[in-house]
Amino acid sequence: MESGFHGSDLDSSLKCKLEESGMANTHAIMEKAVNWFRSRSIFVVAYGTGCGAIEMPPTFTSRYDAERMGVVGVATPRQADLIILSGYLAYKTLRRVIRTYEQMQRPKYVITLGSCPINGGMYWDSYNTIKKLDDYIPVDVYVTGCMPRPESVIEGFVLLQERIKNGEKAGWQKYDENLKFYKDNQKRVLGGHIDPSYETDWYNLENGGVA
Amino acid sequence: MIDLSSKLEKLSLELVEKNAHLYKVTVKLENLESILLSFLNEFGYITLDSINCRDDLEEGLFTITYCLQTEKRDHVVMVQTSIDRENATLPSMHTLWPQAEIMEREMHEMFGVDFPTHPSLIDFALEYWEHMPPMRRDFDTLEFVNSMNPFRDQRGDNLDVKVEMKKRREEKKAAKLKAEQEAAAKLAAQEQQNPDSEAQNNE
Amino acid sequence: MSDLKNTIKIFHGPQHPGITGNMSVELDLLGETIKRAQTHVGYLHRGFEKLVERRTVVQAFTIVCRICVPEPDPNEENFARAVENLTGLEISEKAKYIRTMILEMQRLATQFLWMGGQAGSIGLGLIPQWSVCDRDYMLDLFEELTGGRVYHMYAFPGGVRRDIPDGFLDKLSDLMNYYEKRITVYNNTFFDNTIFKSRAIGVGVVNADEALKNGYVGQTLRACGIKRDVRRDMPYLKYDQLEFDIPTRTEGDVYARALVRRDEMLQSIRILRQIIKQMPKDGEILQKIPKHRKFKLPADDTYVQTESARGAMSYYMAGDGSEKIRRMQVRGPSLVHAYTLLEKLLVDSQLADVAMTMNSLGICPPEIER
Repeated sequence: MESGFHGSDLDSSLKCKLEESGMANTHAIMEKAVNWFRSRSIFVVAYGTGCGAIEMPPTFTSRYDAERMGVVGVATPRQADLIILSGYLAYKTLRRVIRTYEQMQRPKYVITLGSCPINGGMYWDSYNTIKKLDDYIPVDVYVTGCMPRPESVIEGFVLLQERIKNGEKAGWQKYDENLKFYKDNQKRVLGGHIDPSYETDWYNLENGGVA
Repeated sequence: MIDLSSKLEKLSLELVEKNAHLYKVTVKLENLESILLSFLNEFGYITLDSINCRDDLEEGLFTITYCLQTEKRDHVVMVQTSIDRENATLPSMHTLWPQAEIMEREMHEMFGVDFPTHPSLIDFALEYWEHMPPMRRDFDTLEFVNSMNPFRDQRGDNLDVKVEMKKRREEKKAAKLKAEQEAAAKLAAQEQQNPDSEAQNNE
Repeated sequence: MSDLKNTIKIFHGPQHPGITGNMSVELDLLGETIKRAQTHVGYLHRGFEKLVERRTVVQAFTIVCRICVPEPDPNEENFARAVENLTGLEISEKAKYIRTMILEMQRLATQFLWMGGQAGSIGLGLIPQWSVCDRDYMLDLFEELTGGRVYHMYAFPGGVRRDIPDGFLDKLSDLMNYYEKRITVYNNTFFDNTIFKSRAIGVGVVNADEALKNGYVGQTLRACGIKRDVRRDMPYLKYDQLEFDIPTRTEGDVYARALVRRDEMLQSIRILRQIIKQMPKDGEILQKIPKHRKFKLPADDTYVQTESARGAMSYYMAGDGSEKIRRMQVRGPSLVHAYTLLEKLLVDSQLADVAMTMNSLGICPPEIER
């Protein structure tokens, strides 16, 4: 296979080859199989961005044991499929979160914990936190509560697994499609100070994409 | 504590007892450095627990409180002074207590107090902050937040609670009134339809 | 700065498995040796002190527990006691006992979480699996008592919000017996572990001479032989009537701090057992505040200290005669540890010891920047 799978879409050239050789059904079956495997091995990047990080140790250790769902913690964003944004995000953290998110390999998913990323939560009038996270990063599953209990976090995992298994359109696909919307919002609220400065210039992809 | 009180009387300062473990002394800004030095070297208050800043907007002052403790740490003495809100400047205490460096750095960022002799007045918690120091009372948080982060459209979080409660109460009242009127009208209509039914019942 | 010429600069955090929360340490490395360390915080800054200024006492009460995530109860206690000091509210005997109980329960829970972090930071994967689970049993009791697992919102100015449910003290007593047994197990697996000993002994040694002057608190002080504890020196609530020891060590390194914490867990169990025995059956739990929505604070200021699981946590509070709080400033135990102490300790230590040192100092970023 020359190129890997991208989300729920198999590479188009592979699809053509399969259709030429009269194996069009194989495409759908393989896609289903890939999605099933993918839903059963979710690697979470270790980044506790807010209060919710306090419920991460119970979720991942022996009492609630998220590992039985195939959810495992990893150290670097390069190996991760999922980032858990656990609570309010200060502007300073949002810069790092965007960078971490862009470092992750596709397919990638986002789960948020708590009420704060939805509409500000109890920090709605704080001058240093954002209100609507989905303006800056696409969110796949919101787990509500302050704090969400480990059971709710696991329910969030299960919901995400269902969505992956069904091949639903995920957040990262939205991010790629509506890049200008997200980048504009990020620039508006972070004032252009988005690290790193060497990132791809998504505005001028046709001109080589160099910032 | 009588000991400290008599020592402070020599400097013509009054020690106020707040409770069993808390005392307060108010000093003038020009004496602040010398008094803190004598607290450290003569009276034995070797620990600086914290430096607090309070914004008294109405009087145009910042009230600065140095909380000091002795080696035994069995009580706290608050040394309080006031500085002008505009051109707020304070001498840096990092030479007396090294932890003052970080506390003053925070105060500089949050209140805009200047420390001319401070070694590192860099960012503490904020990043690329271009507005007024946020802890000042004349910094309008609500306006700033609304300009940066509007609420989600579908939700009613941005409504004024008092106004909404009043509206809801009036709605309830109106609904109740309407229901009463309707009931009365219905009763009247019923009576009109069969005026003799009641008369029959009464019989 | 010439000796920094050949160094590599790396950021330890904020996205890093070995960091205690969302903060970062900027390190200049020569090989694996750290030549310069610089702490950066602010990733969790919410401007609590500003939020509180815009709220009444009742509204502010619900958010103060969020100031420090691993241990919310010292914050609630500080807030409640500051308001009581300002307004002269007296709380009943029973409320005092309940508040002391919940503070000690929180200390135990936090120490179990710390144990997981400390063991995890040197690669002992088993201990976090056990200790985080053991902490969860305490959280279950919290849930039964207060309704919340992590954030309790329980110690209200004037008392506590709810009475103890039936049979709660028996469950607590059972849990204390269980914890006492577990601590002997942790002794064998963790505190006497050869790996832990060889990693931790002699690392991160705090200088006892400057410890008091620089404002270090908690286990950092007690591990270098200085017996200071707010519960003993400035007793609040019921601590002057309870018997407990203040464990100390003299070495001042990571291992000594770990042993001090373990001994404190045993002392917490001892205190809780006394409280279970002495707890009054009846009594008012919350003093009725007239017009609590328009509860006014006098134009005065106060300063309160509580011994949290990691050292003294202080609040400065000032009112101005209105319903709103004029100023509330938090001085968490790890403010000085994360800056003055950590930047000094890390110099000439090894990169692999950073996470372990940070954990043993009990650094918790949300209370540094609020």
